[in-house]
Amino acid sequence: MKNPIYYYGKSKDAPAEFQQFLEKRGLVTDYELSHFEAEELNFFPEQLDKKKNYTLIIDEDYINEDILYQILKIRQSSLSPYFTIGCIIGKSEDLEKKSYWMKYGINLIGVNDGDLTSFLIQLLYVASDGLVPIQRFAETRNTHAKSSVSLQVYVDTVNQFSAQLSSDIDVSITKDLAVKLQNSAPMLLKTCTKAQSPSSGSYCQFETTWDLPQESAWASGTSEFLNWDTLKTQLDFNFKSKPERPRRILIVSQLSTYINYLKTKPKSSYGVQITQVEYTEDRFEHLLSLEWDAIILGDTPSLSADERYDFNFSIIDHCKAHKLSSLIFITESVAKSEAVRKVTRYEKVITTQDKLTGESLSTVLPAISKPVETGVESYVLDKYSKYTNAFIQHPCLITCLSEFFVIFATNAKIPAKSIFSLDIGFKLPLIVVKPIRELERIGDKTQYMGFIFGLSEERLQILRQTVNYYLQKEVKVLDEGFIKPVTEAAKAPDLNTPKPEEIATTPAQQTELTDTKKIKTYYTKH
Amino acid sequence: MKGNLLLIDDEEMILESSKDLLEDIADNIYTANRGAKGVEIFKSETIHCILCDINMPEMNGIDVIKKIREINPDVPFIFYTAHGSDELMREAVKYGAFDFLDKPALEGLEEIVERGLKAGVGAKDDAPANFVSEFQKLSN
Repeated sequence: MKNPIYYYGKSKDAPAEFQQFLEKRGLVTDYELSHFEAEELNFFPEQLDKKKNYTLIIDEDYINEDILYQILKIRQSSLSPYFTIGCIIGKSEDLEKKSYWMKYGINLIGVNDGDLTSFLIQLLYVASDGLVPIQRFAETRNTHAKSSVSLQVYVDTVNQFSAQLSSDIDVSITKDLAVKLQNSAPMLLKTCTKAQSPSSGSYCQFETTWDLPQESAWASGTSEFLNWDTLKTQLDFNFKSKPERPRRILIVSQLSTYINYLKTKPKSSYGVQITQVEYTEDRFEHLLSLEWDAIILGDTPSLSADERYDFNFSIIDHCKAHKLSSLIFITESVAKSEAVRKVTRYEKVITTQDKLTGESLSTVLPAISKPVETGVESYVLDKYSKYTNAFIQHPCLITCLSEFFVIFATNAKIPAKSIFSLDIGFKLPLIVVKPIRELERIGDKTQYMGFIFGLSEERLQILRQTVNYYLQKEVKVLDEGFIKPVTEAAKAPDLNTPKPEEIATTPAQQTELTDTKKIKTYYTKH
Repeated sequence: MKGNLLLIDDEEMILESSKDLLEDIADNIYTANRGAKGVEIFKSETIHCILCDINMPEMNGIDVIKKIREINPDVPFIFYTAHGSDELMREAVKYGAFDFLDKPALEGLEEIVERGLKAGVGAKDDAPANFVSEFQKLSN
């Protein structure tokens, strides 16, 4: 059984180089590479094999609205755990402006002017949940640096009084949260008034609603935070204010049914937030506890007809018990809507004898996509848009740094594949992965490992030299001062910057540090 | 064509009063004071809708619908229910209950039976368009 790697790109050289990479690393028995360069791409598999992990590598030329939409649908569906998606861009300096692609579900971005071998290793490590071995690198040892990582958050709606955020860590107990929208001063969120986890849309782990500061607090001209008028001007420029929000729909169905729907309407979004889940998935119970405008109960083939009715009743009973008012669509029901309403004493039920199919979903969903009126004028932001690239700072303790990964401790619970960045004088983009070794707790803090990605060869060199400089030294701070000794040394004409092999302390490290044969810039060759 | 209706109830008074109330709605109304008799009538006549008590001695409403479903999986089946019939009602849904009527009030009797007969005669009432319009009605 081989795990598929699909490469989508025009490069003629890349597939051969990827294949060479697999052979060199002894991965050809586990992985099989396919190359696609069709005009219209479709990522949704005909038949998902749940025993396999699927790795997609997409050239930046192929990224467009339709492709991002498909990636988003993967992220929002039961396909998500089986897919790891990497994208290759030309220059690392473009990473920041293209980082919003990651909001759609791209896990890693590799850069042609950086180390693509590491990118491939990281991608396969993430896809295999740590089964593919990574290279070993020199690591700092005496590191206890108080720092903060910058966490991507998603601003969903904003009005003068409140804002709604989605995030991968729980920020609800924080007060005075500063959220920095792209290219602007931060906006201040005073207190969290409502939190639910995981968020609807299964997009992020948490969804929180925040009070914004009111007039007196906004008024101060000296504030470091955006005042409402400035924020409003920015929002007016990019978004429309409406007294409504998108409808949230949970589809409980087999993945294949949903995939068939996506194939019929791959590009359409209908302005609804759709989440698909199979009832057997772990996340099902959590998703059910959220507020949905509608729940569509589709095919559940492993249940007998009797069990299916009990299942449907249990969903309705759950909504009643938790005072939720979701509209519940029951498919393949021989009982009529009125009968089910009277039996359950739950008015918002609609039944149909029809089976849920991709085709029926594409008929029903547009018809029920009317936004929900909220009565309050709010800016409904497209959380995937580049205009809403927002970050918050989260405190952490850095305990280890290499040119490949960072280990940090925090009391927040962080899911795998979350995206962070760490500023050490320049930004290190990080993806949280399963640690390569057991990491002990530090007091009440859990340690996490984050792979560093998207660095140019030049920055990688600085990082490599910095790590080597600090190998045996104590590290208490990670900021510009951290890289300063190395960058200063590089400027000095008579100073020999320590070379990696001169500083590495073990023969193994020496070998690893000198293993610099990389896959080079094939991307620009097409 | 209005369709033929079968009434099944062990209370003669209910049978009689229902028949009086529904005579303008159906072409023919057949009555049975026991479940087994109702099944026999169903086998021998063309029936487009059944109105049946859920609580009856010997053969209750669930036993009746089970038997009828062996012969006809689609005929609309409306149940008379009373306080404390919750479990039986849930069971009835599994066999395709069309609707329920509370005894003794029988509120909405004519309207529900008329819908049942219409569905039984052949008008499919759960087309996707209806599904959507039902959604729109409920979401407003």
